[in-house]
Amino acid sequence: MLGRIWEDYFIYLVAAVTLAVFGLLTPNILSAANVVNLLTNAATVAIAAAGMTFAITGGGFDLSIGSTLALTTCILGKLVPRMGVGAAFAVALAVGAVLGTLNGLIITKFKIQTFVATLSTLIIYRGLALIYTEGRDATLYANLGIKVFTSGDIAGLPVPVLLMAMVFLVALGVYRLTPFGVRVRSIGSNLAASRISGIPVDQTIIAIFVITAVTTVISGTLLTSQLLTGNGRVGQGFELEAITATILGGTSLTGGKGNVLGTLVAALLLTIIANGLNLLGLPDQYQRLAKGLIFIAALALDSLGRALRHRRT
Amino acid sequence: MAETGKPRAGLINAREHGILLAVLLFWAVCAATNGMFRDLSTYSSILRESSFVGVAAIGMTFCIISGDFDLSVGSMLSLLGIAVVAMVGKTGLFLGTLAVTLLGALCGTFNGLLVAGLRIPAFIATLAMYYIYRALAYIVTNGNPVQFQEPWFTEVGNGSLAGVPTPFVFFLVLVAAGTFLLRKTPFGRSILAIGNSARASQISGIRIARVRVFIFALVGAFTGIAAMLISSRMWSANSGMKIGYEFDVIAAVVLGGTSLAGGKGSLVNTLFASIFFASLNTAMNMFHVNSFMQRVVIGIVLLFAFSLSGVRAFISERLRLKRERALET
Repeated sequence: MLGRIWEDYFIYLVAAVTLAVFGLLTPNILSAANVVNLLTNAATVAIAAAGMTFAITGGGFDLSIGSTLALTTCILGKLVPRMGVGAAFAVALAVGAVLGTLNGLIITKFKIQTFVATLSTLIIYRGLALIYTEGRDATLYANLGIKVFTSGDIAGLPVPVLLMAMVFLVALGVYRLTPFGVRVRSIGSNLAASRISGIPVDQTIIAIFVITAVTTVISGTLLTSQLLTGNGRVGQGFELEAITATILGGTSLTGGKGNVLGTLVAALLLTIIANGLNLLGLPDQYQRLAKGLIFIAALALDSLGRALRHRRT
Repeated sequence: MAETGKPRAGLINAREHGILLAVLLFWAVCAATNGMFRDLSTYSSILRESSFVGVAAIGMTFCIISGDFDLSVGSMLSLLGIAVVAMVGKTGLFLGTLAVTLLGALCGTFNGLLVAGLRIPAFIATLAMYYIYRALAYIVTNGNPVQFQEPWFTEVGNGSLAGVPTPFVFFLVLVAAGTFLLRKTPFGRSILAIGNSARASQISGIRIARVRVFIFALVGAFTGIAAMLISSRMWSANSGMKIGYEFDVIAAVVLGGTSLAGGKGSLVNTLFASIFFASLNTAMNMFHVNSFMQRVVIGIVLLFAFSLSGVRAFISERLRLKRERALET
């Protein structure tokens, strides 16, 4: 019992404590403007992490999302000037769905572990992004329509925050209320048993990887809107951030048990930490070091949670 | 009906030596289409380049045989390269190499403790260390490249011994030593046993945690030697060097037929796979393949290598079904 509560809620505690500590160190972090800024920054990682939550719950990983993110910025950078924001976004979503399906097909038909399959497509997709832009920047100076994704608002609510809320509502609904959510959990806890009991395992896995790719395209669109440029080199290590948020949020690394809301809180926590370190004036490389250490600490806590639960049962 | 799991007799057969055949075939095709592949110096340069990935791939072969991964080797390489460049002038070659090997083993031990001690899955723990080692490399150098003042040190990476590139001499000796370790010592048998079944090994009294920590220490030690060779070759080291190195290393091991499921592998095949990748890179440069396209090609070769065992299993499953059906009718 204690183990379960620890696993499910420790992230809320950690987030609250962190916010309080940074609030004392740099009161600016709690100003209204900075809170909006925080939420906007969190949205990019959080949305992709919502997709990653399904992948990890299903017992896999998607390491290729950093490259999918880069390809998204390239597609938007190239196509927005030609066909406008709406159509370019639709193309990016379609490409994302194709890349996700490809990941899923490679995993299910060639029978390769998700980890190594997406490690290969990580290299390939980034190569495609670089080929597409010939390694150059595709800048969007004159096409500020894309700006709507970061600075637009609907009834006073910023668009990125609304998008994040929407993605998480849908993710939560799909995870808790649909047969698909049940299948993902079942595959994650026991693949062989799921197959025997008639669950369409291959289809479910392909769908999972479409979800990770499509959520990443949405994240990539927010990022493009912030950077106002498309570049094949952005987003290296993005997969690690999304995985960190997912694991930190209480989704079990061994599969079968996810926590969609936990992912959201963890993504916010990571952003608070990055933002706080920034406000405190810590150089970039020290921030990366801090992120790596926080990642290790989160994983150690995950082990601890599992050990506690095993002792109780 | 004599379809057993044993390899067929004979000096060369496709399953055991597939990668050697692939290298020879690739060389033959290249030699037929490009004049530079008829020049002996091209092959000497391929062997030299293969060593820079291959030496680290020896450690990684142990790791993958035991069923784990180490994704931090590229970042570790950068940190260790900086260390060896900083100290080689004072310590001399022998002590410097020894020190960087031990330092690598220390980094590896830390990885091993995260994996075997804290029970964090290896590829996740080492992914975190990938960021940490790279950040440390940046912090200790402030992002500036470090150089050495001793011309003799460049001889290790760039020179030759009796016509054979010096790094390749290192590579051959280390492959021989590694093969001895894997096949002839109790430690080597423990590695193979853990890769086959961690549970069975534990029951039979192998101290799994200790062996795994030692395997990661070995990965670090071999990465240390590779760092020495590469820094010597490049005349310097920096915190941004060899990004993506871990992929090259893992690709060489997997292409060499070491099973990702663990329990099986051969250092000699890792050697040939390293030579194959070096040949592929050389050929792509000679045929002026766009550098971005080169990444795509390498990704596809990797995917092909990863799927080989799956395809093999698929074919043997089909054959088995066919045979059963034939027996029924």
